[in-house]
Amino acid sequence: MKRIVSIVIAITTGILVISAIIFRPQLNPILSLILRWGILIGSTAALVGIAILIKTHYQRIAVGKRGFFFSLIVVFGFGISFLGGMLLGVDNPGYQKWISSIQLPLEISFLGLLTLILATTGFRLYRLRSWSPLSISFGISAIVFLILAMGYLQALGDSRLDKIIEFIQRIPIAGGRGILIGMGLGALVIGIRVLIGVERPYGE
Amino acid sequence: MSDDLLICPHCGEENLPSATRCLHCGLPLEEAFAIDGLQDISDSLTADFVKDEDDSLPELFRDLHEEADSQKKAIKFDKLSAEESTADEVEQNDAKEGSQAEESTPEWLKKIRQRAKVEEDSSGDLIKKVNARDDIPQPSEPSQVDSEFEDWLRQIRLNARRDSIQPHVDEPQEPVPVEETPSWLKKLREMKETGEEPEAEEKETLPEWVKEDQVSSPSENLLAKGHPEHTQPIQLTPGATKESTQAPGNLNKVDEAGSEQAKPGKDQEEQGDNLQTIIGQVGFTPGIEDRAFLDEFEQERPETADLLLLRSQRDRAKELKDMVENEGKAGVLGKQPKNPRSKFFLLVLYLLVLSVVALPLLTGFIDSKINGTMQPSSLAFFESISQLSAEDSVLVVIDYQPGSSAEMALISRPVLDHITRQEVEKTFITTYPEGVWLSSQLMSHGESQPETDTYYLPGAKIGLMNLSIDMSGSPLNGVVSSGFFDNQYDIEYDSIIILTDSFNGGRNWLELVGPFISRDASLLMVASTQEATMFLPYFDSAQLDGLLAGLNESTLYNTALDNSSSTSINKSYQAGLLIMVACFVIGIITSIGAKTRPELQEDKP
Amino acid sequence: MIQSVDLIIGAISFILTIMVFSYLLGDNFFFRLASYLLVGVASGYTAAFLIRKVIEPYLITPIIQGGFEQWLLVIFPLVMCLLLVAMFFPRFTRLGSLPLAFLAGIVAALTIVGVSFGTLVPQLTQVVESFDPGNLLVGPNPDYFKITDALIMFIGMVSSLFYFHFGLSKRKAISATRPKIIESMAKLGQIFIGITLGALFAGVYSAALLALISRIIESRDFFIMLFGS
Repeated sequence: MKRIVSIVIAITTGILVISAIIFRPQLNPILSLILRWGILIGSTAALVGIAILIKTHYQRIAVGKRGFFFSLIVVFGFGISFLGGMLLGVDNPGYQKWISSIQLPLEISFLGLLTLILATTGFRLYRLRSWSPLSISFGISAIVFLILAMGYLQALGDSRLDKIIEFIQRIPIAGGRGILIGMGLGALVIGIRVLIGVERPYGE
Repeated sequence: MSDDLLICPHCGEENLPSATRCLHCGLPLEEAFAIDGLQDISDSLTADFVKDEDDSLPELFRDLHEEADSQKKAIKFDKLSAEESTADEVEQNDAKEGSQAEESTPEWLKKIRQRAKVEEDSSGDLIKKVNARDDIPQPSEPSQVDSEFEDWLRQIRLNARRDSIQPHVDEPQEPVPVEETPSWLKKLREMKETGEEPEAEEKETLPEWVKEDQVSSPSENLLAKGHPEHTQPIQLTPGATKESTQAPGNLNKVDEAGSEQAKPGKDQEEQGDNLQTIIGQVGFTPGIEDRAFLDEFEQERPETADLLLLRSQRDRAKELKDMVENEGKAGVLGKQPKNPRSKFFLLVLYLLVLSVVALPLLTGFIDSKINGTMQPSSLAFFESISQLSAEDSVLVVIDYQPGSSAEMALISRPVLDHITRQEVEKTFITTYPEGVWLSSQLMSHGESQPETDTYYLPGAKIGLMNLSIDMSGSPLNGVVSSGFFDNQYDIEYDSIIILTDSFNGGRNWLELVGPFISRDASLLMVASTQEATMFLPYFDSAQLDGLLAGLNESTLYNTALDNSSSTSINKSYQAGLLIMVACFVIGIITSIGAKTRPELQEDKP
Repeated sequence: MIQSVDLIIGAISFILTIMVFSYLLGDNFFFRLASYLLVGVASGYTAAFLIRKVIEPYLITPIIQGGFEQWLLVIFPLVMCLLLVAMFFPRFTRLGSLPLAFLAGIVAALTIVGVSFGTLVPQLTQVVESFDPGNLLVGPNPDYFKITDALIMFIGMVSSLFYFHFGLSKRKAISATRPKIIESMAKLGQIFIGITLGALFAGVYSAALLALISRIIESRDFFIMLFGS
């Protein structure tokens, strides 16, 4: 019974939203109401997800599982930032400064670390992988676009060279368009499958 | 008790009547394969048996015994990979024999047979044993003997292969004591060494009318009664002999020794020797003088396929259990040994990249104008912003995460300077919670920017759709809000500039907001370099009116604004790109060298 | 005072940067400490932000301060949110399927509309329009550059789509290989996809490089501030 109710809710909501988008002048208020409800429910879902994450880490600490010290760090970090936000307010400049001083360097450093990892990957790529049209074109393209990103060739100011560079920079559009259309078709199929009840990503 | 139990034809041990496999040796209680020589002699043996027992057996049993041949089915070779045609031929032959026999059966026997099908088998122990022997498939043509023999050899090879593959086959914890060796093996040894009479208790298991000679086991007894012509050793084909030597080491010795012909002797010895010869021919232990070999053989007795399968299943279950237990434990994976040389090399590479990138930055900042030609997408972006005037309003969307904030701040700075110069009205919104303080970081750089509130747009896709529809006339206007659900977000913006670092985020804007905004409004995007390639098709299809991505384009944009850019950052950036190109090229060259090196070595004389 | 706060913040940033880059020596305690700290702080900030900016003003405040009309408007999301909260308890996990179904329906509808109007139609239209004779002519003469460009775009797009095609006809289902024409087009598609992926790789590396540069600059500024003060 519950399963049927979930499927009916998903299908009804989906069809209603599509109809409201198509017949916007007439169904605009209903559309905005449904979307607003969706925003509230989505935000609550994100909160529940965070709560389950903290609960998992808390259980690890309570049981004394191996590596519980890191769970302690997670819970401690969560507690400090959550309590600070609730008590001081998330708009508080001091609170934002402290949060940004921890999040910014960590996240930027993780991305910066990728530079060094990618450098070694580029060195070992062809030692680990076999040669195929995909890998060869990938390597040549990466080298060409890395050189183009430096800007030396653009700085020369040669019009013919500029045209060639413009042409080279357009080539990825072909493959990118194919990928976009493929992804779009896949997403379309999944969306239709959800609306007809075949695909049930909501846990049934 | 002994009447109800089944005697295993292989080891001679007692088993329950309902057992299909011997508990002691694990082999099926029915013959799984044919022993050469027995097939040919089985009929005659049976005939002899029946003939000899004419006086002692009741007529009824005799008739029953005769008809048992016609009623039995061909025993399938479960463990052999016999071809269907062989089995079919055997079945056909059996059916033929059955139909022939049926024609000659008396009426009363037919009735008994029908009744026997319904009722439990009322034949005694002896008949069962005889039937078991007689259930050996009876190939009608001599050529089938060879095929069956080869099937039997295949089974031995299979067992041997399993034995060699199984590394965890548990050897017996204790050496098998001499007392537990199979009785048939004991008898063989004894017969070979001493020629003694078998133990009395062995004889007692057999009815008197079966036992004529002092032979140890019923099987040997029957074999011993065989005709001389059937006791001659069967010549193996050369190929078969060769293949049989591929068995594990123990059996190799067996095969080597088994090729010896049995010596003719006195009746008993002759019959025993004949058995040994037959067994030796097919690869099992004949009467070999090497006792040590026999001990070794009995300890490493080849096990049946089923037992091996059960063992392998048990081992795999144990492995799976270990894997499940170790799931999530980092220590398990981290124990892999690493090559210290490669680790040192990696460290050197890391330090090289770091130093090359850091060196220009440590020499101090020098600002200068960098010349070059902008890409068409960047040029379109510039022109679009240049067309804005003081009466226009621009919506700036901060759609990136803190990790990309360094790059986005560098690339977006000239854009913000440009729109400040145009004196347009700016509204900042963000789709991430962190965007609230990222925007203040963004505005703190570059030309002086007045403090502007940044509003949060929750709901990702749903929030974007909500933004794009017309809110006027909504029943929610009366709701107390802090700026999101009221008409603060007027969709009548002249330009929407999206600062994004993710393809999905930018695509959501293009799909859910782009089609619904006014045709006069321009949709511009400042994208992180990592996703810029995937937004080019959207610019090509005119869904985006301008696209700015990459430090180089941003620097040229700055130059177009008549601003100077930091040379140190550019030099550091270029050095980093150069070293990546060098890593790629060196990697390709070394991999080509590594691939051609074995060929060069082969070419050497 | 302000300077000391900046100094402390700078020191924290520098230490955290070093902890992350210690990964170059191998997976270690400090790197994991930094990762778990990021998870905790980010989740705490997000939770506080969502409660203060979304749940409180648009769900709780209308219930407390709003009238009957507001109640009517928020009763449905309130019930759904409570069902979602019940998912926190393992026994009532299945109750969360109803609000998730509601969300799935909305997202599926938005996906269908967005992909159709936002990606498929415009992209396919562009492929067709690139062969428009009006676009391929410069005056009376054909623009060979544009013609070549249009052809390459079309062939690249089609061959890329062939690369992702893995269908087999029923008759040929026995053999595991694709038909030859599809196989050859897929090989060509591999080249175009390889080119796109190479460009993406260059972009990812550039973004990561800029992040590394920014960290080096921040660390340098910290040392200048430290030794300068």
